[in-house]
Amino acid sequence: MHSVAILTISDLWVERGESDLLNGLSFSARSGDVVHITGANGAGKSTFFKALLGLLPILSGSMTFNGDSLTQQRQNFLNNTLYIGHSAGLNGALTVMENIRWYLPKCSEKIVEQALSELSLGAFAETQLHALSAGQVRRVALVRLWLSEQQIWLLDEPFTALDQGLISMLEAKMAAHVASGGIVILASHLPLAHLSYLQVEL
Amino acid sequence: MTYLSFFKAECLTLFRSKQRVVNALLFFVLVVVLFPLGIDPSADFLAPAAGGIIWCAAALSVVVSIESLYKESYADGTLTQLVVSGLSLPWLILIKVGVYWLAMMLPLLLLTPVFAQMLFLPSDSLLVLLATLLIGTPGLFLIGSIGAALTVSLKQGAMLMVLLILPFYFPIIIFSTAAIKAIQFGLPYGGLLALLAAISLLALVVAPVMTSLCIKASVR
Repeated sequence: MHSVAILTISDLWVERGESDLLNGLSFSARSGDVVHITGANGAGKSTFFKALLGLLPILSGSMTFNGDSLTQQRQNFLNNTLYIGHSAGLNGALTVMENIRWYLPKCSEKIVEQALSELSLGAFAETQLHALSAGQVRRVALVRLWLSEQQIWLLDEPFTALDQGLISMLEAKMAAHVASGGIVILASHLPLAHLSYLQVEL
Repeated sequence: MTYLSFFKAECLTLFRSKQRVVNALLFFVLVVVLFPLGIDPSADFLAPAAGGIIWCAAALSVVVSIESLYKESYADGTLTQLVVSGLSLPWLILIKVGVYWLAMMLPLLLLTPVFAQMLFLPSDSLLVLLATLLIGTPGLFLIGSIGAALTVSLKQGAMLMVLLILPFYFPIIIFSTAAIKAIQFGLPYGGLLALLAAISLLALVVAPVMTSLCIKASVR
């Protein structure tokens, strides 16, 4: 159904400190794919994301985006990518609403309020982030994720600090995203219960 | 994220954490007030030294406050988000430093005439002092930004940052105080202001790129 690979990783090795990581990682992601990266602690899951985002140089191998070298297409790739890492990437001094407005200035207030209510954050819209719990901050990051227009979601341990209900909700959102032509690449120790995905073991 | 939304977020962040700016200004005030008390409060001594006192106090208050410029962003992961936002990182840095410069320098420039009066600085020298602060301090902030980015991932990086950036502050302080001295002796000072402007312009071009390289290396 989806024949053209958007992102192709071939025989990737990355050097981190004293060790070589990723063991020649190879996979292709097409529109509508969920790629689930698994592996023990220290296997290189976060390192892979950093290499993909251009934060770490690669030792060998290749990465292509829309058929061209990712290095040449970096700007285009970053414009089409949303990355949420171990930390939520939100500003503690700003309120929930201000954080969302910062990342998504064009999003209408009504849509933002709906998304906040969906994640039980409606009452905290004007609360500064450093007054929220870790789980609530993670929810704000999910609001940002759900309202984003980027095609590729890179999620490093996205289920951290989420309860079972939210994990199911996040999986449903990922399913909706890939159904609309998006790509999700996530690293997690948890199996995905409600999604079909390509598993990549590091 | 857009450049405008980042600018608004930076203004709000700085307004919410205004203690950082207030502390730096308080430090400036303390140095300027304590200096005459410790050395000599007479007009004969203070009038020729006023420019130097105000400039040293301004430079020190920049040094002590700029170290934490990227610390919180680094800790909460927003610095990484800036790097992968797809926007130009040097421009984002320029906005961040620019907002910080405005927040700190506007009150400092307003305070300067009061302190100039207190230090018996002649009124014609005051205009030159204000001009040197306006032209020279962007260089202080931009150079400080490189040091802050270099040491952002270090827990005890404050002293290292001071040692790294202070030598680059010397020409700015020397040319600024020389310009103030020149007007006091009736000598031309335009060339010294031009040199100050050249340093700030050079820092404007180089510092955002250098800072972004340091930040990219830190968020790995």
